[in-house]
Amino acid sequence: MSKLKDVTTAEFETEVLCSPIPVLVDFHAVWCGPCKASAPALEDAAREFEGEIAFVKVDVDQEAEIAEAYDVQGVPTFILIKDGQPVERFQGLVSRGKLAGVLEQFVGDGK
Amino acid sequence: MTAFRAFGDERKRASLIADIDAKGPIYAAWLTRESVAGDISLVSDDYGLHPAFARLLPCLGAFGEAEDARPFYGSLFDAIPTGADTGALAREAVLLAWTDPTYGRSKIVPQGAVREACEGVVALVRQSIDAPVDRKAWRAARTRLLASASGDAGLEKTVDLMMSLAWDLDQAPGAAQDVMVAWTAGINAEADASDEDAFSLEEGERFEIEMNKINEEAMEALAQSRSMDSIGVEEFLEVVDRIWVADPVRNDLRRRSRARRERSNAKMAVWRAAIQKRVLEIADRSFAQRTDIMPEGVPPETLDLSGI
Repeated sequence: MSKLKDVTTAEFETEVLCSPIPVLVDFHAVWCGPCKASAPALEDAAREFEGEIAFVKVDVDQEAEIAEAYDVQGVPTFILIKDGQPVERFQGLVSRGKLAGVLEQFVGDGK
Repeated sequence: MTAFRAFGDERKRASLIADIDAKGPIYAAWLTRESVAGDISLVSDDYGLHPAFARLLPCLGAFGEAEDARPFYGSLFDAIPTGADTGALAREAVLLAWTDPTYGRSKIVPQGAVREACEGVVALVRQSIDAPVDRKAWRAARTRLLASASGDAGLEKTVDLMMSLAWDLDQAPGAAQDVMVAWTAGINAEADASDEDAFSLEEGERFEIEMNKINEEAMEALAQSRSMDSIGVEEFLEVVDRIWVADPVRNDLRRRSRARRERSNAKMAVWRAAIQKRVLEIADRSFAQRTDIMPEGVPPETLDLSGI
């Protein structure tokens, strides 16, 4: 069971769009195997990038409006949002290596 | 620092081996299910195995897809003394992805900045066997690797593997599984590419299009007489098979694809047997040298050694 917070449509603006740091949004579904399998990697990455990148989840079945707004066609889809704008997007089961490869461009010297 | 002590007593070791035996093919057993769901804490907590080591077990047994790995698990558990810390074994096992003389990725990375960055990662993993490595050092190694590999598409898979290797396995034990999955994918791709009857790009695309088309056709045919939820896998595959066979030209593509998959699986089995052998050798060598094994009777749960 993932420990990352599920955000609702009502919370999305405050938690994601207005966040002072980049936010990785995990668009997932409760029935999705690769979403569950990706959860431990996301939690490890969330610990690694604590204070630099925020991590939240959006349940595409519960929050269809946001999923549609970001044209999410499959799950899991990950979108990194910085200053309210999507800056990276990738899909499918992720490894810690893949996550670090994407996220480290947006922290520290890569900011 | 937290350490896991293997088994706790002989009874626990025997119960783990018996548990795996009783559950049959590992594919159906808890190792696979738990690891896919992302929670392997049961194995660590009940049997005192380091979480990274526990995560390697399904990978080393091919998730049960190719063979029955029970004899390997039995030999491996027998090689681990009661009370041993299996964290070092996990670190040495993942290092094989770089160092193995036949299959290690060091064989395919040319001299240059990427290789130097990979060697930097390997040095940190080696260091972490004996002492904790600072989080910043792992991050710096990853950053260096990313910078060195920028734009080199040919090394993308290997860089992904090495990026997964550059994590502290105490903090992110699942990275061990990431390394093995990436290594498996790399070896599998090489097996496919070197096949005697490899698909051309055009044939590969055509096969995928035909496969998707036939799957859709079968699902639509079955859905005409019942709800989607009630369609079983076996009957779906039966209809799919009928559609393939009805067209000899496209069925030939499937025949070639299946034959190639069998040849690739055979190559993967050779690789897996070699890696299992090396992991057993590492266990035999490293535990024979260790003197800090705890006596029997110590509970297998984690021990807080932070005050030491």
